[in-house]
Amino acid sequence: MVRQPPENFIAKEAVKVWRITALIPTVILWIVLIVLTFLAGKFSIPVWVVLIAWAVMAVDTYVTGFLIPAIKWRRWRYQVFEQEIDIQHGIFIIKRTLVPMIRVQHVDTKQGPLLKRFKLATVTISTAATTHEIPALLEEEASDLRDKISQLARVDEDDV
Amino acid sequence: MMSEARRMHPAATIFNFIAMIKDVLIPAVIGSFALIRNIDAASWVWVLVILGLLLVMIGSSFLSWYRFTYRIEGEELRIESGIFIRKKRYISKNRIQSIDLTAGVIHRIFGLVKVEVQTAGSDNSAEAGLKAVSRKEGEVLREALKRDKAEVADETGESSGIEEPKAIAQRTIGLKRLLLAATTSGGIGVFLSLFAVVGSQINQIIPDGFFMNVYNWAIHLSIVILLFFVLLVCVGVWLMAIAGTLLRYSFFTIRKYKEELFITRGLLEKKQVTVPLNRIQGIRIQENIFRQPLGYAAVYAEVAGGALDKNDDFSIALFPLLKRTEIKSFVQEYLPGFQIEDKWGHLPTRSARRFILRSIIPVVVIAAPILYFFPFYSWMALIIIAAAAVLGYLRFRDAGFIINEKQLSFRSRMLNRETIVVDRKRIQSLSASDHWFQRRKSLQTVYFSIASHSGVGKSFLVKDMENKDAEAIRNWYSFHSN
Repeated sequence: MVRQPPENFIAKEAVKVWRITALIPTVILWIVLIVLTFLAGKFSIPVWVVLIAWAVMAVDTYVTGFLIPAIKWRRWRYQVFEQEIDIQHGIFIIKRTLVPMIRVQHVDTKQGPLLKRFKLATVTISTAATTHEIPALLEEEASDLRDKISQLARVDEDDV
Repeated sequence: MMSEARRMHPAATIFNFIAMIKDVLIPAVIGSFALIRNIDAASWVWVLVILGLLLVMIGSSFLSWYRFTYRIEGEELRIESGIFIRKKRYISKNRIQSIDLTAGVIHRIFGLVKVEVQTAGSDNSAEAGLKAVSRKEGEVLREALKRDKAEVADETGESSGIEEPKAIAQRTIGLKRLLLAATTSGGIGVFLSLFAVVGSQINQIIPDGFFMNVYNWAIHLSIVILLFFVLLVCVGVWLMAIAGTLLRYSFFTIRKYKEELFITRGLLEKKQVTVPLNRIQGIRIQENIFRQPLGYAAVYAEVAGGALDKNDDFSIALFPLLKRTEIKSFVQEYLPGFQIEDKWGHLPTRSARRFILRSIIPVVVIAAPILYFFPFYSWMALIIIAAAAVLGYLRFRDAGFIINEKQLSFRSRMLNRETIVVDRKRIQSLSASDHWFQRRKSLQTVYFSIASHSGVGKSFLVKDMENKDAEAIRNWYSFHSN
């Protein structure tokens, strides 16, 4: 039987955060492109080259700024069970990971300036070998999740 | 016991001196080479400068020996060191993972050993090390720092303290086996890369015209002679690989005690490694391309924490060469927590095409321009592409998995066939992934990670598994059976 994907989505605002992060370099490229367009006449660069450059930039902006964040958000799922955490993510490659509670060594929440602006936080789950992230949850949700996991992870078993 | 502070054997001065030459003098000389050439000074000035430098180095080697003390007090190993800046390091006994005794050539002249103490999660350098103490002192230290004091206390009645407990099992490599291990070692790759490094350095020493001359000379030789030279280099590299294995694995002996494995090995440099059984995360069986057709393999333990043996990629060789048929009983005897099984689950036939394409594509990408510019050599490119296809097929055929009650085995091949066996509770996390091409064919890639060194894991994977097999592995690992 095929398992159902995990139930919980991350915060919808994640899309905005990812979009902004993706668009910062894109904006710089746009500025460069506009400047170059004005200079194109001077260096007698044919019009079709300029047009192609604009088309490429437009597609790039749409893909990195809009399409990918949307797909990424739709794919990102997680679910915390009593004994394990199930995470699914990925754009082209969809990866589903199981982390048992007894293997969890510590749980952190972290927040960069951009996430803080949107009142979001990322939960990081570390085992002795791997680190897993649940990005961009609502601040309160993130700290609740962190507390819940660290509570559940307090199961004793032999070390490592 | 040993609560007074002690110094190492005075010969430690020699090791300090050697370390200083290696770390300071040689880089300094190489670095200032260009500079020195341009300075015009009488030769006696140079002699004075060099003498002065040597004197300073010998002096500080001696002082750093003199100022280095260690003692065992309470439950701790306490080390104090530093000539001007004193550094104190206290290591609690129950944090110690393993204690290694090593004796290099100079050590053996004086009857000394180097003691390395490793703790969990420490990075590359040993947590604490004594460069040189007498062999007896080293063994006393090891005994004193062992964790299970209860066992020692039991025997206080009769034993005098340093007596080794009796080994439950013991196995030593025979001469024939050692020679076979040496001649089939995969060390060739290592030496080839060494050649490349040396080659790139030599560039700077050899005059400019030299390579041009050699090149001109070489292209005038017939291809037969060129092939002969290539063969000659290969044989040379192979001989060095043999020597390397002999140095490393001569007198290899593994002993099993109640809670640990004890390994001694080495021809010139004697190495003793203690591996606590409960630190072993998994067993890896490596059948390299020379050994697999002969039915032989090397067995390694994947161990968590500490830089036990850097050369082995943080794995420890449990035995350098075993017959495939012996592995099962070897593991049963030395690692009773693991079982070696042979009912492999294979990949579906439709995965074969993906494996073959994966190994051909990079070769084709590299070969295409060569074919275009040197069409004369296209037959060679075709042979290489055919070889890649065969390798891809072998990778498909050898990939497999076994799930049993509490243990997972994966087998895969890059060039060598590698089998990994782990306990369910040693797996830190398990993932399955698929992308568009895989989804179309209902295939998935399954990965798991185990703890290795300094908080970084090692992961193992099998690509292009049948969906339902991947699902079965996930269900086996999950607590939440769905």
